[in-house]
Amino acid sequence: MTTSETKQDLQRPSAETLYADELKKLIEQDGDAPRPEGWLLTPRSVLKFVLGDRKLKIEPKFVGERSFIERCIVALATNRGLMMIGEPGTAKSYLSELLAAAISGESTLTIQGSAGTTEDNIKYSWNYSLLLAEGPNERSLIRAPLFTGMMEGKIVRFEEITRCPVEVQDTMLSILSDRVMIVPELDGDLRTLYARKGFNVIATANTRDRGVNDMSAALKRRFNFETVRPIPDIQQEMELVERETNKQLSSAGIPSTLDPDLTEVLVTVFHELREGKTGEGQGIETLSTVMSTAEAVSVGIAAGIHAYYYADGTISADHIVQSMIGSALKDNVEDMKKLRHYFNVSVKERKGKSWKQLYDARRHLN
Amino acid sequence: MDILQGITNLDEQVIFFPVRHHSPKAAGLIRDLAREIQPDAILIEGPADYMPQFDELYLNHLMPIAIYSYVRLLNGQRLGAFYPFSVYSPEWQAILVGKEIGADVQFIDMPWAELATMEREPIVHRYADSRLGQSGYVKELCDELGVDGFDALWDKLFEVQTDMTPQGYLDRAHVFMYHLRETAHFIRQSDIAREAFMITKIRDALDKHDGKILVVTGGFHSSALYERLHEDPREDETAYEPVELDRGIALTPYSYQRLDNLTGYESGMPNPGFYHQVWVDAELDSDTDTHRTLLKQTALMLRERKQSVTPADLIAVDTTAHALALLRGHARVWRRDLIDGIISALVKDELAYDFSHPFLSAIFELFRGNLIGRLAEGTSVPPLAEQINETLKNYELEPNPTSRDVTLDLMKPADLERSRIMHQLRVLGVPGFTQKGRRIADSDETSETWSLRWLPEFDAAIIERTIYGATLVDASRARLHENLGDIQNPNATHASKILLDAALMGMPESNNFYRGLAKVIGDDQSFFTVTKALNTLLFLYRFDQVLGTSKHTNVGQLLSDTFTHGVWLLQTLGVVQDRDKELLDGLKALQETYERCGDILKIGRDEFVELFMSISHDDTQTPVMRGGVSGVLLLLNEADDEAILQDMRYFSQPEQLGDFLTGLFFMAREPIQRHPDMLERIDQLITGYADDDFLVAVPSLRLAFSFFTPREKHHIAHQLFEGTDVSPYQALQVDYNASMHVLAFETALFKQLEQYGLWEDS
Repeated sequence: MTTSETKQDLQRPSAETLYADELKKLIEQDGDAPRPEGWLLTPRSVLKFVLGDRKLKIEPKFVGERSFIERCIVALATNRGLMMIGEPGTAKSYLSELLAAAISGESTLTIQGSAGTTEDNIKYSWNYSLLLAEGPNERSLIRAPLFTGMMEGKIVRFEEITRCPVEVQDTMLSILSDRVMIVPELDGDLRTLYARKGFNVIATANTRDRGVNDMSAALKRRFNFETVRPIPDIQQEMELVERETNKQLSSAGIPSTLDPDLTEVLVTVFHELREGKTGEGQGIETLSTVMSTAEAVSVGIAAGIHAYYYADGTISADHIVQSMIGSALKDNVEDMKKLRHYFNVSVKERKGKSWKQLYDARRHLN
Repeated sequence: MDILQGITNLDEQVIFFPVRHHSPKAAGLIRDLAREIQPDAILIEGPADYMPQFDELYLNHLMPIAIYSYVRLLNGQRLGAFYPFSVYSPEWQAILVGKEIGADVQFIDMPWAELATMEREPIVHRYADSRLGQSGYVKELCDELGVDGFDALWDKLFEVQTDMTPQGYLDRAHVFMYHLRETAHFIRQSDIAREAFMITKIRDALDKHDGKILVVTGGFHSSALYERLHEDPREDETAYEPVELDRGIALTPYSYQRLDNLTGYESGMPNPGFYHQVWVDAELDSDTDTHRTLLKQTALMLRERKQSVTPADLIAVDTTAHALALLRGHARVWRRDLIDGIISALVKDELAYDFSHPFLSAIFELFRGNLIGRLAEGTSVPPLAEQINETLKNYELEPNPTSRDVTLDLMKPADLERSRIMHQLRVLGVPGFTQKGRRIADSDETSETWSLRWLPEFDAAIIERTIYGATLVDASRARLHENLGDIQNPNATHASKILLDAALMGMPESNNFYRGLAKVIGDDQSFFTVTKALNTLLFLYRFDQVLGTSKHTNVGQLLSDTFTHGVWLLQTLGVVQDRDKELLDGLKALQETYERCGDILKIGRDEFVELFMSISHDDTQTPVMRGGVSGVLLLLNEADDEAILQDMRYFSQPEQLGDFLTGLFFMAREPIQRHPDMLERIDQLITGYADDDFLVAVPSLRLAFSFFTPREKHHIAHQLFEGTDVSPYQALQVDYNASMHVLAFETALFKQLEQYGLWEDS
């Protein structure tokens, strides 16, 4: 099975598969330049991998301030973990995937935090038939991502860490500070697993859910915190939404595309509803739904699919509004009211064909 | 590129040194270069009209200071501009080294007055970076070098460099600045004119000196000047003829805070405190440790503010900052590295958009720096500053660093004189003079208390306010007139305050001034602000005992006009909701003005009464308004008792009665007590209420009766109980046993409540 086949068959290939060629190019370019031990690339190349590089033809993958990405990379090179916090849909998980792929060449050592996450999911568990037959040994032990990451010296991703109960989160304490995991069931050398160089943890947490479970001060101390923000520059956000939507539509085999005019309308609506302010400076009520860039892309895709299968394939403002109701508003009645108000107050006044079409599509909001 | 070959050649007679203003790197290298090549003359981008006072720059000032240049344009607009110098400014170091090597040091920039007439929106901070950082070249270079923005780019190219020579600096800076200039979107007309001005000065210097000439200007101009120098003079290089304008120039104390507060077009290099430390460390040859010094200070500051910072945290910040410097290719830990180190390793919360966080505010404060300049003894100051200092001394009002209070009895002429000076300073905006307690227009008092304190901004303020005039009286009046002109939306209350200020300042004002006020008041279409103004005017015209405005013709005229306007606004006011207190205050202002000054008003009694009559018959009006109007009519002796009683009946619903009475009592508290029949009717209405209705009516009724004094309430109660057996204040006749019984019962009750946790004995 070649890489290209893999990429085509998979619904969503991992970053290291998708950008294997770019990684190869960067590895070649790095040569034997010094880098933190256990790292696939030098820190500068990691930066290039994330933000793109015109000369090396590396695609930009994340839109954000350079100094912010620099801080993230540096945090992973020190003996602290990296904690990314921010609103939902700010591409925290995506960024952590990119960083893991660039630093370790592998982004799949992932723990998904939830109320049901246990220590077993994080460290290791047992194959009970083997355990009964042979007792605790290397064969009967099932490695969880943290175990593998420490053993192989790789980045481990811990998604939505604050969704786990505090006791479970604190499993990470000794591992982050001492970089060692004790397996009391095993004997001899196997009892202590020392982390190899290159191991570190990227955790993400959602600021909207902070109330779910807090984090202990002890654990906080072992992480460097970084706030991931929504894209502040509307121009950049438009480019990103247009690029991503069309890329994903084409990979789904749908020839419809989101044109720049409509992208502008879509992104402006999302941007304004997120900021609670129109471009003209008028205050509007923000929605309880997260109006993230990722949501904008999914609205674009839904509109594309709609247009392709149920219309002539041209995405119109009508499709956008319908998709917005389904995929973004999640049928929240209050939000629907606010959106209607936004249409009547702001959209109505806008000039331009697409804006007029958008306003005409307001009947779907009733 | 020939230009770049020639301009970087140190063998040429004229050497152009391109600077970024406030760059410590450039400052140090200028000094090195000047010592090395020993030029005959050093020409600096600074206001040429400061030359007569130039030697004052060499007095023993405490940096930072600025040259302040001000002008009054023909359209009356006053504009001032600053040329600030910190100890690490390239221009400043050029000035100092010039004296050290005995060179002829000259400022060669076009004076501010000419510039101000030329630029549409003149940049007041003359050493700003407005032209830099906008070109596509900078964006390209930022992408190429992997930095965010112009400041970081400049840092990376110049400031961070550890072993740069003057030649190395010139080579790099000229290439950088040349491309900036070539790719600039546009070049201002005023920049071209300035360059023409500067080149004539350079040519003058060439005529005078045979040796080398070092030209220190903003890098943006260097290549253009070089080009002109190697061509025949262009048409615009004419002899300078100063424009005839009211202008002046002087030194003024400056501060790092002011330097750092500049934003947008006015902004220069940020974080003066940081670069100051860089400069100081470089002078001591310990420049590798700047970030440690700053980190140490940050930690101390944070601990002082009860923020916990552990040694482990500091190690983490230090490590992170070092790693960032390495990643960014900085030879040493720099500005952004330290900030990012703190963001990364110390801040454990979601970071707001504006980066506000206690940890960060400490480092930003440190990076801003807190140095405040002071001028040396013997520096000449503008006449205004001199006069203010002298006046304060003569009147024993000099401010000291420790605050002191001065109480002035305005009935004494000497104190009145001093009060006027205080108000003049206040209006002029000189900091350190604040009035405490009530102002005389708000009370019957005839004395004022002022708190006097010398603030660091004082020295700068008295110099910079020179822009308004040469004497305290002239300057404060000019400022007052500017305030009047600045009123954007016509607001009568503001206008009346300006008149009050004029009176407090003891200023006889021109008819023109009163016309200006009358226009603002006449344009104001709000009943509320106009009647508020009426109160102030009434005070000045009728009650003032000390300011001398009592019975003043112009004030009377204004009062009369405002009254007429207020009456007209009341006529067209319509129904007002939710502004009851303001409405009643407005009515009262009209009524009082009419009562006190009826003789000078243009509106006669009939007209005035008729207006109130018509409102009192308007069934759409609110109970408060109707009550207030009835009160006014009662005061004017125009009220028909029967009509008021009818109104009262009309508003007898429990939710309305209190509102009506609030209006009535607020206006006519006194006459109502002389109308026992009215009190009786109110009593009848209230006692007629069912219990529920009474509860609805109580809150507004309480408000209505709150306008009476305790003695008046006592009197009313007596009136109500007259002729009955009951007295409102009968002593309770309870026998000893009964009260003992009640007390015992209560105690037992509370005890039981406490037992069930329903009551807590406090």
